[in-house]
Amino acid sequence: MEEDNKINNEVVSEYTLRGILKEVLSYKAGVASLIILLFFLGITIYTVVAFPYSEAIREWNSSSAHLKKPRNAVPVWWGLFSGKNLPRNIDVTFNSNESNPIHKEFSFTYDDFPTEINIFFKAKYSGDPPIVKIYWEKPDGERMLLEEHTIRSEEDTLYLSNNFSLENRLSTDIASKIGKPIDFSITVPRALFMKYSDKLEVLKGDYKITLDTKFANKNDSLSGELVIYGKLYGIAGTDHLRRPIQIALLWGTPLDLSFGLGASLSITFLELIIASISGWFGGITDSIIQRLTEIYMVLPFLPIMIMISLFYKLSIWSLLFVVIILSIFGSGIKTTRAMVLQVKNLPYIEAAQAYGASNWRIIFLYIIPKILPPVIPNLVASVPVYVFLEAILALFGVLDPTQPTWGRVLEDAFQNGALYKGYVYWVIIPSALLILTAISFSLLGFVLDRIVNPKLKEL
Amino acid sequence: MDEVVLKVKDLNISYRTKKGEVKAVNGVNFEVKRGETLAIVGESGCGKSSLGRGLIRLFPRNIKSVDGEIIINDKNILALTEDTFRKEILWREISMVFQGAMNSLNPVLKVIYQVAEPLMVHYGIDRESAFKRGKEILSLVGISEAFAERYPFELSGGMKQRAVIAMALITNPKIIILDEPTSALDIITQENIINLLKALKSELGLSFIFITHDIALTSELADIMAVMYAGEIVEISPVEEFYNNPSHIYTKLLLESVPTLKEDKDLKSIPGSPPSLINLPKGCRFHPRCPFAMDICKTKEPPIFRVSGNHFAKCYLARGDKDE
Amino acid sequence: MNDELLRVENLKVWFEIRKGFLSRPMYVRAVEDVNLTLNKGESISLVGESGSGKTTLGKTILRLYKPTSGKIFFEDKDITNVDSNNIKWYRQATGLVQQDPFGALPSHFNIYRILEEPLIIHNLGNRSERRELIFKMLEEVRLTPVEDFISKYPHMLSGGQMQRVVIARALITKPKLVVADEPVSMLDVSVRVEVLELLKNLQEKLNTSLIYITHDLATVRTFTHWIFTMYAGEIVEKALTKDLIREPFHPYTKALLSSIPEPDPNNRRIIKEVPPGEPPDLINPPRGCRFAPRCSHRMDICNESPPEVEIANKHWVRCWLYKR
Repeated sequence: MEEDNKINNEVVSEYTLRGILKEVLSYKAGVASLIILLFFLGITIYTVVAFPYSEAIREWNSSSAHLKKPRNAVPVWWGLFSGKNLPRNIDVTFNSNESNPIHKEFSFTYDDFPTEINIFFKAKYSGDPPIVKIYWEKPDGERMLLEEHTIRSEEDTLYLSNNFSLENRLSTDIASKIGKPIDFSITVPRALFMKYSDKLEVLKGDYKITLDTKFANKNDSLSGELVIYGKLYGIAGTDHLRRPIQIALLWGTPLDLSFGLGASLSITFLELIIASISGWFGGITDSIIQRLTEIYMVLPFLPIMIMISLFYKLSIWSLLFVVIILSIFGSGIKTTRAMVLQVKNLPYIEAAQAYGASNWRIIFLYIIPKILPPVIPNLVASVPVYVFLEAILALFGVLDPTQPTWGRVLEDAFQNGALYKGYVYWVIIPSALLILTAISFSLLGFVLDRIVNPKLKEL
Repeated sequence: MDEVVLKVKDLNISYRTKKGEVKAVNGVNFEVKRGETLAIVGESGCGKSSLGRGLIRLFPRNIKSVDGEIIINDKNILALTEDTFRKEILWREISMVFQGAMNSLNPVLKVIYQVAEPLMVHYGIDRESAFKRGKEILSLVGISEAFAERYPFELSGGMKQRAVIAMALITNPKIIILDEPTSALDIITQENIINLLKALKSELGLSFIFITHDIALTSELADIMAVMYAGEIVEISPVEEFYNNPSHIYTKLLLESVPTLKEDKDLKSIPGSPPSLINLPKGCRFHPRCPFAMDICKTKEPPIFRVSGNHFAKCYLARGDKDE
Repeated sequence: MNDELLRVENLKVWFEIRKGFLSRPMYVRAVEDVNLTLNKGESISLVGESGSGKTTLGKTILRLYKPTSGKIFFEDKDITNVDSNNIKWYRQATGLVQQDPFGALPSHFNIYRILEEPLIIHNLGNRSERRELIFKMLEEVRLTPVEDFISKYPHMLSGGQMQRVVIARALITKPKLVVADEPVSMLDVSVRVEVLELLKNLQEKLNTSLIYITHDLATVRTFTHWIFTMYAGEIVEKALTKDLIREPFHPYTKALLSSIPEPDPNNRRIIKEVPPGEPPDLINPPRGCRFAPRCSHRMDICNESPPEVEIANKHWVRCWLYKR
């Protein structure tokens, strides 16, 4: 008897935070999971500090904030894989106080063509609007007049690359210049940057753009920005609305993880309390709770969620609330209750009754702390379950589209045929983050399980 | 009868644990003659159970080393192959009744089956003959035929213990090891079992090794008393000598801490607790708790002193005792 | 001034068991028709084997179980049926010491916290007053230096030390009655004396009444004023300790006393007469005297329940042999 206790005492680990940390680090899986978690923590801290939430929401949902970013651009590091030196955005600004005509030079040495070329004008005039002549000069000296454009409003955008007449004009012109049959189509960006040969190649070098403005009145002025849209942007690329995906991924980290943690923690603790009440009080209370649990276990969770979403678009926080309500009477209650029933018969519980502890005191101070350690690994390992749940629900269109979360990104990608169109990064990067979450929490849960259940060490 | 049934020479058993090597049994020497009962007394953690199980080569998974000799029938059973041991020695020459054995009866098998099983397994005897012999043995231990056909849960604690004793008896071993055979039983039931063991001892000439923490109880059966502390036998002597002239200080203190109804004793307990078998103290293992510890006790392990005839004690103060 | 602390009248404690959902309920008649009184500062040993009902009786007196019928009076207050909302004062006035020291202490509290709990529950002092009480109590149970112990957790202590904490916890609210259920039977033999002495000293010092439940009569010798022996749920004999040991009357008490092993080497040559069989099944106990089936003095009249007879001054027996 005492002999057994003595041996057991040497196996029981100290449940201090430092002690547990040390033990976790003694496992390779533990180290790996902690590294990933620190990474996520780092992202969260950076995001929260550098990029306030209100600002992020505004940016995510504004249609005008991203006009100058390329659409469906690939992440900068992704471009390395293509072997080619993919173009980034080039911005050329010109001010109103510069003398007319304005000449601007820039160099273009990439291997691939820009996706779009736009000029954003800001004009001040009273009466007749200014008229701008736009000249384009290539590195080999060729100069052409692109457009004679009448400013239409104080803020006017000239979509050079979307201009069909310009495109037709340029493509017939260039086709004849090349002479040979060509197997590619000539778009405006290609036309403005290509070599005239039957192979599609960029003419690298210094380019010059000239803006010759005719003002109707002396005090009129014109300023603006030429944006040559590249194919690369940021660490996660951009989506169909030109939004940098990293906004949603960065902010998705704290949102999704706190959703997962919040759900896991709340559900586990509520289940603990309910199971303890059920197990301790027994009798009718126990019966009612058990029947309720059984009904819950039969209800189909996902269809109900979708039904709810038909009536209400849920923000991530109301989703959390609904998920918690729909999960607390789940099967966890049955297993926890079994533990409670075991603990209930331990001598120290009887002792507590003998010195007058009330039922609630016993539940919260004597039973729950005892059954908590075996529950924790499960708590940790179920965090990714709820994170994935958020992503899945987003794919079902349940979520509020104004919140930047990983699930949101995936839903947009799906809706816009990302894989079909070849925008692989749009799907892979958020998926990778989800998988990393799953790996880190599962590994940590596994390690904690080993620590908390010493008998498993022998397996 | 002076035939030696079991002889143990310099037995050492060590276990491997996460915290280090547990030296459970150290340098144990004794012998048991036919019809004799050796009692091994000790408190928790002294290694008596490890010793008991080691005598039938029952070692746990984390066994590190076993040295020394256990001689039965002139053979060192530790040197035999597993197969030979099982065929020739185990349950034929020596068997065991385990601590809490009544709780390890198989609940889904009838009692008669479990008692007859050793015959069927070790001797290849057919079921009918084995059952017949089983019922004989069961009635010898006081279990009627009606109860033989029952399941363990239908038997009381005392009856279960008798059944387990029957299981150990049925193959006619020369020596049976009993590890706390009565510790879970009521006092009157305990007395009944002891009476049974006494009868078996005298009628069948059985030798017993009786392992227990209950010193008073041992006097009911023991011819030789051995006291174990921290893995060692610190004193061994014929039983009369033991109660009249205990020599090791631990033995003396132990006897002083045992309450008795008849005598009006001034009871004293021993301060402290037994040492960890991983970090044993230097010199005499008992010295941290010994009120008479001398300098030499703290540094040099005492040799085994002969107190008289067959009485030995591992204590520097054992020698001077008789002069007082 | 009335010295009476506790009075139990015709107490019955039956536990209901159901073999199936719809079958008729059956009852385990754990305690049957018990009468006893206890004065302030007095101590009783409640001696019996397992199934005798002694633990059930002790815990029912503490109102951890509900009596099936009969009455319990504490300081003249009827506590038989008082419900959980009104019983808190009784919890403060009583204490329980359990058998398993390791199980009796919550493993997630340190020693300080364990001792603080009863004080917090009953609002006994503010934070610094509680600290003082805890320190004093630890000194009383000789767990010193106190500072070393308060931050330890139960698994860091030895069995004896843990049991001292259990005793400290039971006494920290200065109860008037303590029930100690086999407080030393799971401890090493050499440690038992210490713990029992401690319990006795504290009991005398605080003038607390004590009900000491045990199956080991040997420990009772000088420990309590009274001995009550219990068999199969009934109290069969009550007497002052020295009287009972010197001259037991009930056949069961006699058997109990003679079954206690004494360390006498001559024991192995004697076979003691002991009642055969085992205590009865309490679901269907024998009618009348429950010991009759095992009793060598059995008479026809034993089919009826024997009355309690005062056979000598302060000595009662429940046996037809003495009702003439």
